[in-house]
Amino acid sequence: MASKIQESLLRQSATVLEEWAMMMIDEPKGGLETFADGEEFLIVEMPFLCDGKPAGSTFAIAQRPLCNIVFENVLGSVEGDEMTDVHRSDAFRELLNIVTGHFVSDYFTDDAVVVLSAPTFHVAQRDEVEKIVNAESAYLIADEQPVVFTYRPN
Amino acid sequence: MAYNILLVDDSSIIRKMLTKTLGLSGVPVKAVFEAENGQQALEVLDKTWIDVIFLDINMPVMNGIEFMHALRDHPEFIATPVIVISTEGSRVRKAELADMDVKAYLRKPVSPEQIADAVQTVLNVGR
Repeated sequence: MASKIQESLLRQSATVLEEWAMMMIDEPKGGLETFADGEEFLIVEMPFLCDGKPAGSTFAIAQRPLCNIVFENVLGSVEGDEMTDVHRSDAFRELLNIVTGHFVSDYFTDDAVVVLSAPTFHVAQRDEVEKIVNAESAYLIADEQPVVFTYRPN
Repeated sequence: MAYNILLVDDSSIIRKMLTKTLGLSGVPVKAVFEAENGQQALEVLDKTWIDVIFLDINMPVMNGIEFMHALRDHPEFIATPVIVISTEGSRVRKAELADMDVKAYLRKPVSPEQIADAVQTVLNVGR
């Protein structure tokens, strides 16, 4: 049975991926094993304060094909050169920014004063991802690409 | 009449998206100016007449709340229309901004229709 955190993350991230990133959403048949072997992971982290106190971080984790689709669906094709991790970072950080805003409203309610920090982006290997995800992580398949959202309280 | 619009957001992707969304909204645009934070926005306002400001809240250097205080403390900009576009939904934050004469508060993601309605509201004009 899904926890309140997982249920909220699933609902809010699916809505944002569908309505903002214009992607088709499916439920995955598994967890991290749905990600491609041998490919790097892209991680965005967003710490935030709730009522003046550190309340933990949200994370979005995916691989490059998902970030390419988010960028192209939101902004169109890259002008000139090929898509780089700078483009992917812009799109993926904004995706987590929007998901986190809706998640904190849903989970903490709009009575809480939440201050979101700027999301940070980095490239990681599978072992780091395994330490971030937890039993309440929300796994989704968006346009046939896996993505996972996690909230790690302080 | 076409409007000078100032987009204040630290995310380049959001500024590009807002420019694109403005284009789809039917709002007559004369020119779009961009700033990465409140400090840069004040510098743009010093040089250029701006009809409407689209403002993010969470930004480095000078955030949206600090910018609103600076804007309203300046006699020339006391009534400049501001539309806040944020991921946050805090009631306290919305009330604080309403006290600074922010007449429209939109949650990301925003549609062209929401942009058009908000501009109509803050400028008190028909579409």
